[in-house]
Amino acid sequence: MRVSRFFLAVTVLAVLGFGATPTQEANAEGDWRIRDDGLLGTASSAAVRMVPRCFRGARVRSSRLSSSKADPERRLATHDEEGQEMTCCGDGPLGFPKGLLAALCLLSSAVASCNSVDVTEFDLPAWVEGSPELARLVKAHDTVVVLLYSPEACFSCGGGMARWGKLKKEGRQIHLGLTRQPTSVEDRRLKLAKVQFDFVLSNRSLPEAMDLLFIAGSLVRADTLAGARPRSILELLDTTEEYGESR
Amino acid sequence: MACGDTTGNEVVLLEPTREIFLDEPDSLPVGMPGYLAVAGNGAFYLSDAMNHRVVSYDPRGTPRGTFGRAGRGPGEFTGAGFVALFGDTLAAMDHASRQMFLFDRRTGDLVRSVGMPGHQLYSAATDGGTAWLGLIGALDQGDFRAVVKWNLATDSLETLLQAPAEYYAVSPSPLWIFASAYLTEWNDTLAVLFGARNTLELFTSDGTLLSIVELPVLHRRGVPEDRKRVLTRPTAKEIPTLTYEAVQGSLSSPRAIGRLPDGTIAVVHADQTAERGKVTAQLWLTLLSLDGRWSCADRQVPASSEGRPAVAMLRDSLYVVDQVLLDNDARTRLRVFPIDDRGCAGSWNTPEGGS
Repeated sequence: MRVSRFFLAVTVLAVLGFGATPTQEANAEGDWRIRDDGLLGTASSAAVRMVPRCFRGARVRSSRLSSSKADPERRLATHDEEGQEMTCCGDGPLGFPKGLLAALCLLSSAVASCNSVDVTEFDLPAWVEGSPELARLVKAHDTVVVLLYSPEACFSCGGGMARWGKLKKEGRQIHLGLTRQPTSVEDRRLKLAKVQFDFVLSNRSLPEAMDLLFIAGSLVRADTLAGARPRSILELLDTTEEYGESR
Repeated sequence: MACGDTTGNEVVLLEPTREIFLDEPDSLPVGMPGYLAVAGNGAFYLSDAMNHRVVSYDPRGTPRGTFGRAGRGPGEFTGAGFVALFGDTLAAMDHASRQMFLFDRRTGDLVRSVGMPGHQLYSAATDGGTAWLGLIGALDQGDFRAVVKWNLATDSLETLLQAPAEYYAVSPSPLWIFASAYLTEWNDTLAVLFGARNTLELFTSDGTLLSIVELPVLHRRGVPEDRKRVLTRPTAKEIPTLTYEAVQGSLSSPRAIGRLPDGTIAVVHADQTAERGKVTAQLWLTLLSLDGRWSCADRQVPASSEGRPAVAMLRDSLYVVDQVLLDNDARTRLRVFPIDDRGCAGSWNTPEGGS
């Protein structure tokens, strides 16, 4: 049976609410940045939030995920390198919907155990279901990586958007979306950056706190995205595809 | 070409002698031009702050190779920045990790990495065995280095010049983005432009001050009298009420310096501005005799208003890379401007004579 019957991992990588960092100087100053309205904003007012402890760069070991109906808090309990149990799917300070947290945790676990990807199903967050663009993607593919960018965040010279775009060009199931229609200035800048977006969300019902980026078991602030490696997600995609073919 | 401005003087626009559009295959688009270095044969190297790499081009603008990639390992960029050529070596700064990556220009292989002090590197000159680097030290951490001497054989770094005294005056909270140092070197002489100063300062290659030459300001913003205000970091309370213009738009920032074959010093300044998050820069070229008696101030170097251009000088040519939208098609453009005295009202001007 193809893995598609079992595996549905939707990772929504959202970059919201970040002020633009259009210059290296401004960006490099670290604690202030230029906002879209031309005023300066502090980093703390942009998007520094607490993250669930187990996401903070922890290497998460495999956890067996066997039942779609299992309690996400229980099934996603896992261990760090020292063997300390880390429960990562409780309601964190981000206020993520539980379904989304489950998705994130599922991916973190799967990535950490790429040689034996465990699959499950889970209920999609309502806001994904409510977005026709996302719902269509989810229904069309077994494994989908969706990155949602706020148009003003695309100007960040340290952003990783271009890299994701490159992976997309290589045929990966990576979809880049904008959270809103860009302004005319933003639209010009996006064209200059030569990053192709797949869709613009028509239903802006995203959780307010979705301004952190999830990559392979770690929540990464968007302004440090440049250093994040998409490799783990690639491994996940590759493993999933191979798994499907081998079946 | 000339056009009027509010000062009553005419702004002289330089005209390029050469313009090419870079070949950008799908695999090698230019996302955001960062820094530019030009080789003697006309080949050039452009760092791309968005795609985290340096791409080399032949003189026709065809890509020939890439240096580095995105990441945090050796030779990998999280913030591809300044680039310079040292013989067969391409030096490329990753300003996020403060590493200078040295690549073999022919193979693209990483030769070695050198840790660099401070926040960013802006300028370099070499006599073959030694390189002088203009940078911004970590002023906020008490590191006021502005020019370091780099022994290319041993990779040892020796502090040559500290940032000007006015930066110390606002310690411990200087706004270091203006503290850049640009330099050029010849015959054991170092010409240095410090950010937020309106002077050209000449030193021996060992750091002894020789002379200070005032730079004329005709059209560009120049540097305000109250430099302390400019150099002081806004408080957390002030930041939300400040505009980009109020912070960076208050002065001209150096962008490049070079010495022409006849000994004239050429300086490029940028007046930066921002529109809804998009930073653009108006470039101004000034020529200056070393004794300061003759100058040709503030001829405008036309550049795209779509972003901030990358600038480099080689001998008597100024190279500018910018991006333009042509029929909704984003293109990256290299233009070459001759650095000569054309448009200098037919003669050189003395600073006292109204320049």
